[in-house]
Amino acid sequence: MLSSGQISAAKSFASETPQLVIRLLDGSDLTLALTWQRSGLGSIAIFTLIFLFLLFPLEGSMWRKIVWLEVGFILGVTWSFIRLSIAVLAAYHFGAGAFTVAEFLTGPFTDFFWIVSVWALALSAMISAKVNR
Amino acid sequence: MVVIVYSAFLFLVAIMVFYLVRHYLFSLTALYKRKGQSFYALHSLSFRPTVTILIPAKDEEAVLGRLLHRITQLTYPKEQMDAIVIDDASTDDTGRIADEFAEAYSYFKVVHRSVGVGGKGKSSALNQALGHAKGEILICFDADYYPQADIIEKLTAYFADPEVGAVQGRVTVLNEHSTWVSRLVALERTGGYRVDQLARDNLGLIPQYGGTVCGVRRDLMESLGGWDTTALTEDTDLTFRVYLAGYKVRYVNEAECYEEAVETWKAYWHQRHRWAKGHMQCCFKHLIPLVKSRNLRLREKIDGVLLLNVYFVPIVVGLSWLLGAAIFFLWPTNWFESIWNLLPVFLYSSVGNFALFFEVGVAVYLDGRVRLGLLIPLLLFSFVFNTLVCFKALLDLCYSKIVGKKMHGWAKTLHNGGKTN
Repeated sequence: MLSSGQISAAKSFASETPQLVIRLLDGSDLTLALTWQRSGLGSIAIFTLIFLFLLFPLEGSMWRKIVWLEVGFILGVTWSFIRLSIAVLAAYHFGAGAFTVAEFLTGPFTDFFWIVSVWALALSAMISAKVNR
Repeated sequence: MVVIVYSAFLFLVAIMVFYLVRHYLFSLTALYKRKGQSFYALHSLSFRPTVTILIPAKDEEAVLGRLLHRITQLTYPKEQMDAIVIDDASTDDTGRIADEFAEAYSYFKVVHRSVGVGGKGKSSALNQALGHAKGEILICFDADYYPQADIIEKLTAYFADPEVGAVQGRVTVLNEHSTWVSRLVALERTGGYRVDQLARDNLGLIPQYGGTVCGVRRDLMESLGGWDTTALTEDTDLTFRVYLAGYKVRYVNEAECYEEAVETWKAYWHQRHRWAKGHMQCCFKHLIPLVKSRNLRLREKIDGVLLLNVYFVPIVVGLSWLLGAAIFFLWPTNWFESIWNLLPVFLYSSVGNFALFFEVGVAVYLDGRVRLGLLIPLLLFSFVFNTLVCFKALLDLCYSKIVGKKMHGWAKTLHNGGKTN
């Protein structure tokens, strides 16, 4: 994603957290700390909690539940990468302020859409198995 | 300034967390505390009170005949029941259809209200019918409903308990597959009844009397002075009047009745706007008497307060979004970002008209509805809609209070009897 946007990125080793340095179109550098909040871990943690409390207690195969949990993890990590890429692209093209706006807009709102969608799919699979039984 | 904004934000989040926990408990209760209908099994054969069915109708020619025909098929002994159709200043064939049934079946009566007398709302129509009712139990159906054949037995069985003042049956959407809006309404209804109402009944809280598919003792209604004609949602109003009078409302999940749900966003807006406004009106009216009452247990009072405030929750959610956005852009900190990440959970699951995503999920699971479960993410749209509806309803209510504008009258949903809009 980054290379397709022709964005030069570097990692600063002087920082406690991983840093992303983006050279903007005007030549200035934008340095971003890759905190855990930006990592998508928060969304994946919420997803896991929802699964633990709202899907695992239901009747049904444990393997089926675990498979859906894994699907959610993969989707969560993928979406976090896409989200950060969108925010970086926005910063590259429109300046530093655009990063915050893009992060805000692609943040919790869309996060939750995938969380509920995966949960609903998993639930429907559980219902389907229950009905077939 | 920063401290005030942060405090307000955290306060709003705390309210949402409270509702979140409440509805999670409801979901667990519906899943694991499955009470059967023991009253139905024990009393249905021996307990047969006289019943009067009330059907308020204004311009319902498209659907009324279907309901009246269904009433002729009810299994309840006809000598124990009668049905009163209140033709409330209808301008279509509603009155004629009701008259035809009254001629054909002795247990049907029709009360015609002229334009000058009628047209003042459902409560006013029901109050006039109350004067004609003879049954010990009053059962109400809206004209677009279609009940199970043995619904009267199921509803009346609970009145064997003298503490029960009113009962509520389950509403299921008849035209679920018509439009996306009716599908979303079906989801909300499923969650609202199969989990929310059932859990409140099982936990000994306050199940809500819904104004249709429901029954109430006639002597109780008379002692309460009939339905409140100034209430926009006479059902919610009656729920709290029943409890304040020392009685209880029971929910009967097995007593199912089909309804024709709204099919367009415009109709959805009008319906929810009226519900929201009426519910808020009830909150202002009943909140303090509820807290002070000696007729309710502590758990009923807590649930009553939460129930009365439920239409303020979308407003709380909307405000927390605004505050959250302000903090995110103006005073960002790492710890706030953590809360911001969590906020949508509270937001999505705490909002509005019994449309909590996990409650709905548990309901479709219990009902075994595979395809309906796939639509759960779309509840996001009704969430956004409800937030706007509730904001508008609050503003309108405040405006009505300030200018002293009266709010009674029919604010009805148009029904087409299954014909596509």
